[in-house]
Amino acid sequence: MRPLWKKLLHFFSSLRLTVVLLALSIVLVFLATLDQVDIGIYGVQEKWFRSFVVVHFIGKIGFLFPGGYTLGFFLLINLVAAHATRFKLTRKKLGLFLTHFGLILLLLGEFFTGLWQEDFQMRIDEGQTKNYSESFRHNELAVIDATNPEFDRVTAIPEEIVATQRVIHHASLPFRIEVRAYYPHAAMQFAEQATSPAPSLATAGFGRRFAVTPFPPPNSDLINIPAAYIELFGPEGSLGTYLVSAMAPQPETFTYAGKTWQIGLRVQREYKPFSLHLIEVTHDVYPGSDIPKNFASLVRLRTADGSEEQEFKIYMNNPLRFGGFTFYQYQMDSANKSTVLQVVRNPSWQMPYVACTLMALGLFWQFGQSLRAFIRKRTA
Amino acid sequence: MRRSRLLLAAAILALGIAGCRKPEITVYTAPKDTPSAVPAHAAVSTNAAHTAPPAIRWQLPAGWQDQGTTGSRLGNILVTGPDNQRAEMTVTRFEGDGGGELANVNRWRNQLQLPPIDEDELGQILRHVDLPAGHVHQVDLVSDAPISGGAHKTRTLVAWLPQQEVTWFFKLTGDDPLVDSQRDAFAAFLRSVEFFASSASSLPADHPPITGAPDVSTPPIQPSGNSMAGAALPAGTVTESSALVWTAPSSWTAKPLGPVRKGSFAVGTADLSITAFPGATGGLLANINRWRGEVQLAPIGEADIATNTQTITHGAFTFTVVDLEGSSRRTLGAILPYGADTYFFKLTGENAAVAAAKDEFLAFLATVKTR
Repeated sequence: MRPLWKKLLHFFSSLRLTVVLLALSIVLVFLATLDQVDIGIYGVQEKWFRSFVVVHFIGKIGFLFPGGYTLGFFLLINLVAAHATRFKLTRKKLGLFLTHFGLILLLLGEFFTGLWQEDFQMRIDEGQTKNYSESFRHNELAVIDATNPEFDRVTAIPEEIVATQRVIHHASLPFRIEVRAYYPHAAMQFAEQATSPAPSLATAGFGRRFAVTPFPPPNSDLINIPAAYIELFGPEGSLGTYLVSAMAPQPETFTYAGKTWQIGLRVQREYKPFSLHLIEVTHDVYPGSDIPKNFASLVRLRTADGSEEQEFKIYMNNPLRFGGFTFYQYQMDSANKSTVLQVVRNPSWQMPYVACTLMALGLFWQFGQSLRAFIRKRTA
Repeated sequence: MRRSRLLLAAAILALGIAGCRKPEITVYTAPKDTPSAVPAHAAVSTNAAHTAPPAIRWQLPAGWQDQGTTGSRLGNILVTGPDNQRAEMTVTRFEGDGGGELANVNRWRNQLQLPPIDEDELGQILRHVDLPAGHVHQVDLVSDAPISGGAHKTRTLVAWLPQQEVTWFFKLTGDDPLVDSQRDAFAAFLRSVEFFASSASSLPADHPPITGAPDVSTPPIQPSGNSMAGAALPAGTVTESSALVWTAPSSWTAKPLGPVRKGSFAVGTADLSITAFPGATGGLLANINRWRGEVQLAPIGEADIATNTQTITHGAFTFTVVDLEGSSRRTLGAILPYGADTYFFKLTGENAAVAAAKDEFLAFLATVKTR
């Protein structure tokens, strides 16, 4: 009788499992493509590919399906187990080993990308300098100590915490924050213009003049625009209930304990140790038509300590790479002289390149061997 | 076999490294926000505000009599009604916030022999209106009884418009029935208010001097509006102020222009308005979300503008077009930055009426050209 781990190894290294997993992957891609019509590309990535199990409904019939992580994980185990049991490293099979190793790296690369990659955007107007990028879909409650005329001291509370915790304490804040109401997706309007607003709880600040109308969260590629009523408490009691909304153009300002504070819900920011200044945007079209030919942003990059300064033209397939970040040309509003760069940080960005090189070398070796054998046979 | 066990363990470990990322509160020091780049035209008017406050002009509603300026009053307007009813409209300008909202409202209440109120009560009676000239705060106060032996109670309508360094006050006060009947005229007056650079020195060097434009101008022209049917100007007179012209299809009916509208048409049962305001008027996103709110659609974020708008180019003009379909009403809007202004073309009405006119509306945009 074989021990259990041997049975497991036999199961995980079988070619039959490979075929089943690849077949399931094809079905996964097919179903996800159909689902993209309803939930958009971001939703599809999260639901089908960056998940372990998918719960999907076709009409009223629901079923479970293995997600991208599950299939990728078992494919990886399958490949590793096959090498451990069935393949022997010989000069003849070196190409196969290299190709498979490349494939393993590719699978791991996608896994780490899903895990570590951070996507941000940076909107800059011509003549403006920016040293932070903004999240595509995450928001934060920013509580800012704006007392110092030189800089701000920011306590950034992710929206997830605002959504789930009723009371928020932090050592950097002299008051505690209690979330009175939270709306994942809501419009902020003048009170007199709102037709079916949520009950107003604001007792201080501009929120008293405004109303929030909650909407169901968008199930497509649209982002959520949250709003919340938050009450601040010092040791002496309530400091007032404020309305915060990602739609508000400016944070609320108040003074407490001799300091000037600002509080507001905003798109999550990430500050960089360097700044980008947009010198010019250019938008070329094909002559005699409105078809865009090229979008380009001429920027000046400057590090915070001033040690480095360079001009760079960002356009399609010519991103700016600096400090672990990659800046791609993303959107452009040439009428308003404004550009949007996609800012990506992916510590594993080189893995697919290494993987593809290994696979190319492996295939070259493997087919080279066959070719050599073939030629030898013909000349013999 | 040891090798195979090691490999298996390594693969499982690789997956385990990941773990879950938990949202955490972060604290950091950041440079202060720099305001977004100011367009050249806005920079001119900001500088002008430092050298000399902007001057004001308005259009007098029908029946209002201009009494000229006196002292601190930049506008003195007399309104009379039946039975010797009288009301007086004044326009004044003060530095800063003019003494504070609560203090002012309580002063006006005191004039009407009403008790003072606190900050919370003020929040309840304050009304906010967005006008072409800016955002105004408004209160409507009426006395509990006739004051100083008069036959009627006294009513005061005050609107104030804070600017960068000054606050403008528009106050209509007088016999209650008369003031009450002049609400629409008061609103039309406020909508007609325009600010402009007050001295030639703030104009660009190559700009011809403005002649015949005193700091305060009160051309006695008739307002439009439902309450004063038939009092509207002929369309051509006001379109003079528009730098753009257009050609409407013959099936559209031209409607009277108000102080704000540069163009106005009835398209079946839907309404097409063309307006223009200086600057970016709050930005593309704010305007799109305002329109979305009007048809009960959820707001969108900055990142969603591209997927929710369409850019249409006709010659030198690039329109940002939105099609917003609510549950019963729909708005087709086109936003066009032109020179220092932003033009808004807005077709709004019942879903079916707007759907039927969509092709015509898009074709209409192609007819827009410079004068």
